[in-house]
Amino acid sequence: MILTERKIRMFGVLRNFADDEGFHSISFEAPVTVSKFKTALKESLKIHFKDFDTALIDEAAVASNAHILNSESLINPSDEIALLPPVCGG
Amino acid sequence: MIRVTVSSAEINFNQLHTENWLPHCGAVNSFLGVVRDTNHGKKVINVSYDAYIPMAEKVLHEIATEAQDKWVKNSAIIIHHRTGKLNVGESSVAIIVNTPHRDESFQMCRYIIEELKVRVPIWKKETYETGATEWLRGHALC
Repeated sequence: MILTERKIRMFGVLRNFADDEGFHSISFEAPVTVSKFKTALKESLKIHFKDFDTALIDEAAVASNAHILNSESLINPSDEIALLPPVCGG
Repeated sequence: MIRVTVSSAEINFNQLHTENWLPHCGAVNSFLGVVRDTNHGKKVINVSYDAYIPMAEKVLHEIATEAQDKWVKNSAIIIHHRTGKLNVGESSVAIIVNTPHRDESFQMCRYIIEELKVRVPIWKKETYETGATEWLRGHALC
């Protein structure tokens, strides 16, 4: 396990909880499952934004290198990670 | 032929039509999505589109390929989705399908826009005349 600090790309409504470039930085041990990563991300966002609604993370998909991961997929230290809330293009 | 673009560039509908023409195809079906001025009773001033562009273009290409597999492989499809801030009346998405006959062109175009709305990582934030903004709710990808 490697403790890694990563910049997570946030889209849509989650940009409200990101920096000006759309990232949220978080430290976590990798590799980690998507499920455990989401738990760590909720804790981090609650620290930075006291009124943060964790349901936003529950309903968001986690993508790595433009592929959606399932809850048991492993996130590796070198992966680009993006949080994708429910979509509404068109 | 499939061509997909997700960018801030304006949609040039006439140019897309010209580019899409195939000699063996007698039907061109087009869909244009436009920013409207009201949503759920609120006066909309503009809409900002956000997109995870590499994945949005990949998924749109997959959807177009599915449409060709279901109806006509030897057809042409162009999809252009905007990003950034669009005012009321501006085009947010264009889909142009060129097929030998009209029936499949209608069905393919309809399939693409319906799948786009539930599968492609694109989001929109409305700004209202009150100055308030709201990210619209959508379809979960997980």
